[in-house]
Amino acid sequence: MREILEILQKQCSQKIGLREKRPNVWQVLIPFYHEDGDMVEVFITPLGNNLFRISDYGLTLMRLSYSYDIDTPNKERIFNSIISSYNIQNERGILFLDTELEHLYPALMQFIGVILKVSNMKLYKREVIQSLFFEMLDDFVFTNLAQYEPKKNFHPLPDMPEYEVNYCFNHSRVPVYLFGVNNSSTARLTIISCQKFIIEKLKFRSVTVLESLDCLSRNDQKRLMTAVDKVFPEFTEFEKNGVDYIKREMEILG
Amino acid sequence: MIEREIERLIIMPKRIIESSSKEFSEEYQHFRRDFKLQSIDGNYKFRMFIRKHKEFQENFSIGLDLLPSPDKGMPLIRCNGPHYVTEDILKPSPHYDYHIHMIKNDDIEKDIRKLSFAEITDRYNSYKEALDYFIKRTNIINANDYFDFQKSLFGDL
Repeated sequence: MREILEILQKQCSQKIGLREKRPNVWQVLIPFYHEDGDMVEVFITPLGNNLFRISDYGLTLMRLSYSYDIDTPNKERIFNSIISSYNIQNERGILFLDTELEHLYPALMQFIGVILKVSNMKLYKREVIQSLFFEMLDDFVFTNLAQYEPKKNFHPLPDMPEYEVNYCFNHSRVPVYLFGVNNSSTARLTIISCQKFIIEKLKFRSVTVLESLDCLSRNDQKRLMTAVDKVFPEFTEFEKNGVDYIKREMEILG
Repeated sequence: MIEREIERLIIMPKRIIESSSKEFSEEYQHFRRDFKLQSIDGNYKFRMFIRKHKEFQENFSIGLDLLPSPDKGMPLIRCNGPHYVTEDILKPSPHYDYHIHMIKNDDIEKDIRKLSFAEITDRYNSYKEALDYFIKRTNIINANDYFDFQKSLFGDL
């Protein structure tokens, strides 16, 4: 084990370098790479009084923006939660960490870890969006459709709470039931619920918002489209046209 | 086969159909412009992006993605400026100089969104030359409507 440790210590000292990018701004050359082979870009600036600033000069968010924008409050929340968990500061897109000389190495490692985590936000885009789907739907409904007094987690059959509707509009007249679907389980639950309401001879219109069309198999798509009155194939589509659609439904249903 | 198809997509004539703005917009520590493009035959849509760091002006990226659907772009090519001031001391790498990233067969087969092939280029030595090269390489026929090639490096900001 000692031999391995010695080799690691030797390699660590060889595989790190500093180059002056600008006066008093030192770029750290260290073997941490992005997926395309670009090295993680990190800089050290001496601040005086034994303090050093480790910074990315805004290059992490620039690189991320090639294919992924932090353009919603939820994405922003996740981004802020990643950096704040590791005490990284964000000043107009520049991520940085101030540290004393004695803690420079562990702080540098920690900083690079966060840079890679932020850079990979695009890789787990699907998971991020999926996990936020119902939150985004909820925000949208209570922000943009609030005038129609949506009721959340509505039970059209009060004695059968297992048949639940995510949101109900126009609950005192012919209601519109809105379901969010982000996987086969929620799709099948929606189908079963709508069929049950039909069997129980309830009068209603049903709308489904999919997280995206490819979150469902082709068979589940077919079953869902047969069971409900309207399917928005993407959440973004609902964002664009959902308000107009619900408005028209309300006008028709009275 | 895949390389030929990628090359065909890169060089097929295309036109810009939508621009995020007339000029660069400022975001965080960089300037950005984004475009939607369509092949002349109308069968393919693309996305082009330009990013330029505000302080490190040599650090820029100009890229083209194929858009099979609005949210699923496949990167095809990216023209970059140098990331480092000297050659990478750790491993052979083209990133200390002007370089071009391209997608590889392996990237497509593994369904990963990266451009793992990178090589130093002598086709450009500045942002302006890189933009000129990119537009010719990707065969954008109406670029003159969106870029003023007479202006200096950051003159069009």
